Amino acid sequence: MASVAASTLVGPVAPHDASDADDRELVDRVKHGDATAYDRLVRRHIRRATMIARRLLGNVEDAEDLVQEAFVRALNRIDSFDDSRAFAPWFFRLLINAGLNARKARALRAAEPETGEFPSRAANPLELTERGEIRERFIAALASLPPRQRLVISMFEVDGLSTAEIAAALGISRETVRWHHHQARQKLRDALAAFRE
Amino acid sequence: MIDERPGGSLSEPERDLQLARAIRDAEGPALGRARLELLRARIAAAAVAALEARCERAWWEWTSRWARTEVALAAAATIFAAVIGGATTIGRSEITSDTTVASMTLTRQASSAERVDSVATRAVTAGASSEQVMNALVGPPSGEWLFTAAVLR
Repeated sequence: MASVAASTLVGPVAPHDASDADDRELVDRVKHGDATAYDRLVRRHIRRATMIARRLLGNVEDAEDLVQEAFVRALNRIDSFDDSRAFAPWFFRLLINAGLNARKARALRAAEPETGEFPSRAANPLELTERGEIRERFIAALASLPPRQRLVISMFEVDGLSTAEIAAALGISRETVRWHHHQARQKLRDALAAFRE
Repeated sequence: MIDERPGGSLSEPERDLQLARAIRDAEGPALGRARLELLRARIAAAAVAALEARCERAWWEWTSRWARTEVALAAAATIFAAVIGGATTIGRSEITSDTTVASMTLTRQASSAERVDSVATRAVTAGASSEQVMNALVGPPSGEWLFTAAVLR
């Protein structure tokens, strides 16, 4: 289920042959202490895990700490993993829950503003100024979203996951995913309204 | 027409490419490969102890699992051996008894009564009590006599 989206997201760190069946085989080997299998699991999911962690925590350093913690926690709990299910949703749920707890429990480092090229086409100074303002508004709107809404909108629109896959990763119903998506999209579209005109 | 209302039909909402690009830009570039490799190395280092513990546990569990099978096999083999061995012993004893009993029965019938009688007669004539006679023929009721005899020798 999640493997389709996962295979489209993985980069050089993770090979493109990721599948649930392979994950299960790797998990089985990890249960017996196979370090190579564990490393392959990490390679497959680290990129997506880092993206999710960044969305949850807002900066790269905290995100990396969270991803490391989640992978080690997954190893410690691997015996509770149900072999009949896909590994990715189980792992990402663990990661997201740890991230949501981390948001509450620890004082996060100040989020560094990320730089990115918002408009790609050439523009005059007035346009750039306007776009800069819109971009600021959009970033503020994105940051103001509740964590789950932020995750849902990013996982759906950017990562290309289905609502069912997001529901499995977040441990909520598909209807709730759709509701979060609807709310988040409305807020962000309002922030983007001027830019769209 | 795609239904976007919460609780409406469960068809997927339409994807908004412009919104996707805006979010991607706001989130900034993904982590570079070098940084991901460093993180992967950190994770591998953090997992070494847990993986080693799993290795040892896996070995022990394997041994334990097979130990059970080995015990069951050993028990079965013991029972089998006992059955075979018992049958052989019983067979031998039967053969022995068959051959000896036949030859001894006649001589015993003739001499045993006479031998017991002669021992008993001699004991009585020597003034031994009935208990002494029984001790001589059967052995004392307690096992101390054996110890005493061993000490005396």
